[in-house]
Amino acid sequence: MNLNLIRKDFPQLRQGFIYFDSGSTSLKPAPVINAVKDYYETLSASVGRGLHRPSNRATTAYQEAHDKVRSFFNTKGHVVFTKNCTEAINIVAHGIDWQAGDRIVTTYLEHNSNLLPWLNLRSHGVEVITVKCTPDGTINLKELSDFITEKTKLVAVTHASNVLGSIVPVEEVVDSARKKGAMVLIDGAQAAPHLKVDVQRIGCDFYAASGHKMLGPSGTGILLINQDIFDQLRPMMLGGGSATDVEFNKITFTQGPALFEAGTPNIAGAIGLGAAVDYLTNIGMEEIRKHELQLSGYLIEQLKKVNGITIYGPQDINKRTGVVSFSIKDIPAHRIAIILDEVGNIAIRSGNHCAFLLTHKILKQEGGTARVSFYLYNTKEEIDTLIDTLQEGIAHV
Amino acid sequence: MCNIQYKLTMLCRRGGREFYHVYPDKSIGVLPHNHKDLKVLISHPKYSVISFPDCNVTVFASGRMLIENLPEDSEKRAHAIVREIISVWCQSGNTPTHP
Repeated sequence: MNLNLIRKDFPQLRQGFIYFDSGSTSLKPAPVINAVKDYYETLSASVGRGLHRPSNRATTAYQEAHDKVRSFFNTKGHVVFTKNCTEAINIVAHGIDWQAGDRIVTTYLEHNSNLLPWLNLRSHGVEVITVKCTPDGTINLKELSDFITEKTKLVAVTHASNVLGSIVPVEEVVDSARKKGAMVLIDGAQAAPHLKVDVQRIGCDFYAASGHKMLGPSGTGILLINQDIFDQLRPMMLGGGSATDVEFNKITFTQGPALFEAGTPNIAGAIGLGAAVDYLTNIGMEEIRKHELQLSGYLIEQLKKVNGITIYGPQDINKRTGVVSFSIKDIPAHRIAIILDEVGNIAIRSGNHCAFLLTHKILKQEGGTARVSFYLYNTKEEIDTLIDTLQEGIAHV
Repeated sequence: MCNIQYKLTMLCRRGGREFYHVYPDKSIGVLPHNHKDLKVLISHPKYSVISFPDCNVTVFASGRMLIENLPEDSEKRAHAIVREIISVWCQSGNTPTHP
């Protein structure tokens, strides 16, 4: 992996800013930006709706993007493009035929996107069990398994925490759920950009991911649906493209994933996402993982030198993604983030990271944490600058 | 006399506490460190942390401010704090510049 060449692909890096907030959204490489631009300059037409050649070309490119994503995740199931991971999860929350008394099992590790849609179902009589985790982000799989009963319709867990970086052994979660006949949804927003994800090996029913966190354009997300349960899911939204024939008393719905992509989709975004997947595939997810592990290990070692620091997440670096949360003494996380921005031209995230249960109830950090999140374009030198700024700008003041 | 406009937005509310983010339209530069009306907790070349009875405020040389841990529903109080800081800075004979 040639870091210098990679960095040249990311125009935003030329501004001299250090970007450590890829957990929120990633920077975009030139091939992705160009793919979006090319669509608007040469391909602009709706998809699946016109008989003219531009529409045909756009439809082909749009479909190819689906195929690239299917291959990237090694799934034989259906690929639905969404506007983000949140929408992907909500499609499942709204699409399952819930009955009063059904149970959903989830965890304290979850981002609001994989918690609120389930908590909202309590008004329909659905029981939501939230399994605690340890402060380093470990879920007790035995405890989780014990909560999965015959009443459990869905187990919804994250693949990797957006706060702690801890990786959840999702294959084991799927095994536990299968024994009781429950479906499984994996929130892959923080895993798909950083790990080699093999959906067939995981064996889940739904895998949701954010396109924009994996180098794709804003407004792109992914929902992978196991074809065995595809017919059990009802579309959240209906409109153009949802039906092949409509009469007042009979609607013939579209077959396949297009049923979940009603209306004119984000065509440029989808094509850009296809380019992002190509980019990641060309570099290799194993290489990206190796690079991020090096960065995480180096950052944690360096952070330990900062006076008054508390580092959150697994001690074992191999159980982490490139996310490292920390706090310094009693300094509010937002102050740390703005000082890094103003003093060091460094972008990090601060606060609760939309994971209130985790930061409040498990980490006991009402004010949240400061979070560094890496991607393939970050360097050790950038970490050195971060540490210098923390030392000189915050810890020793 | 200073004529500094600013945009104040609530950053977050949690646990009964509010954080506000302030962007002035002009840079107010570095605050005086030993002003009689301000209690400066931290003084750094690029920012100061000022203590008020009900909160701390981080003020950057760019003029950007972070008001930390005000009680709930304190937007009016946040505006008053910002005006006080700007007033102190202006009384010190400073002239704002565009950031």
